[in-house]
Amino acid sequence: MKLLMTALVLVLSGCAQLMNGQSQPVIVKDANLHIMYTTCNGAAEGWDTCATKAAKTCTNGYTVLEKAENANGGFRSLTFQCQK
Amino acid sequence: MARGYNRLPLAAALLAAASSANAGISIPAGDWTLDIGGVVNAFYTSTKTSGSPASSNIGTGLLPNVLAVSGTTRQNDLDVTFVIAIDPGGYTNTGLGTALGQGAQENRQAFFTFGDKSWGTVKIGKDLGVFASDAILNDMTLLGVGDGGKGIGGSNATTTLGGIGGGYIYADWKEQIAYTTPNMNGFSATVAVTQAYNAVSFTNWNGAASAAAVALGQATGSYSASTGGSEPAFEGKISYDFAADAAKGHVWASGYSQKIQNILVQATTASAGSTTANVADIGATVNVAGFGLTGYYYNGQGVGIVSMLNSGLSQTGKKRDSDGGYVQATYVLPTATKIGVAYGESKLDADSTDVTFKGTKNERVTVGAYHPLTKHVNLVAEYNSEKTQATGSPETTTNTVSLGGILFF
Repeated sequence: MKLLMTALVLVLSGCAQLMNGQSQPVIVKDANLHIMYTTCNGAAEGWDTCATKAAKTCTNGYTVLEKAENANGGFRSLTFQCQK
Repeated sequence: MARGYNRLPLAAALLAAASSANAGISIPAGDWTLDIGGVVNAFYTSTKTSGSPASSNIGTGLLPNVLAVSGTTRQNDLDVTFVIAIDPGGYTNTGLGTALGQGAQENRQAFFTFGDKSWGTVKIGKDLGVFASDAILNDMTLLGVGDGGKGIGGSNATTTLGGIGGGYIYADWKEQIAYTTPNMNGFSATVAVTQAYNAVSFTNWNGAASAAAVALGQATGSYSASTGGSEPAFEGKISYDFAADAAKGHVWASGYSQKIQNILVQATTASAGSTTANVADIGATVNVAGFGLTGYYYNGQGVGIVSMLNSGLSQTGKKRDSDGGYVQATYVLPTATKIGVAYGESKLDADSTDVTFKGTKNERVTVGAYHPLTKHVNLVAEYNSEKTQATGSPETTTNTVSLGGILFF
């Protein structure tokens, strides 16, 4: 029974760790000009998550400065400037 | 909030910037900023094709592994960039599934660009083709497996097929000279001349059918020997990105045209002149509150199925009609896991002059889950069912279950 409980705890804690998904962060490129950079690479993220992160970061809206994509790897990046 | 951005995300962003590079490894080098990036992926696939025993393999998915070096600089009032990539596959190259295989490799990208935000960008070199590029880029199996797991561990393939041939034609990696306009309030356009290809037929990719194939009635089409002759292929795309309140979307249309010179009938090698293959597509993807919906359709003549100019010509060298498309729905769970379901089909009709070939259709259903374990590692689970129905022949169904992961840096 002890062994079963231990296994259950390990499985549950492992699942909890696995289910704690991590998004790709927003990075400040120029704090004075409010220029930010984020990526939405891979299968779990897409252009919609890049746009959502930009909208969450900039309360007054944002301007897209550069949108880059490399098909060979599913790379997507968004450089944007928060409006004042 | 007078500064125009949220403090909490900014604090997190500053922390992230201080702790790690986010996309690739950037190296300042004189005038250049170099970036080393790539992808490593592997999947366990279990595949069962009707009438055949089940097969399990471990290897790369729709993407091979990628090691890419890129650079950017600003010179003489121009933005200049380059990309060179090597793409090792994860499977043995013996073709027999035996030991001591070293694995196959593709070389998908080697191009440079120059331009300016005021007038656009010119690209010269090898990169993803223009036509149908958005079809594959919006396919959720791009970083998964999709179709093609069957027996691939014993082949010299570098990748599986994803949704290729089950809703769209492969855009392929092509030598090209392309011009892309600046982004004009969401609108942009690309025109390109790309390397022209030879047409091929189902049963003999290199040209004339063998006598045995002719005797078996397998010489079902025509092929070509002089690609586009004096002309390249022409490709173009227009697209529009929009964001309205919670909705974000991307709409596109693209086209391809290529002259096919020196057509030869497969069964007899008799000359069948020349023709021009054409195809156009349209697609859209919309995302609202975690839901995503993508729709895509293409229609062409002479372009064939799965890959460009594959089986697009009849037994007398005439153009066959092709069409297809896919719909895909996705949803992001609170755990940040994206789940999705897709249905696609690709059809190739027989021409009125075809005798043996009666047409074929591929239907694909994919169900997938894509979980961001870390910001650079995705775990993937997929089920894919691909049904191929060649008119007059028994239907073949291939079911593939795949589990694995992909790391990008």
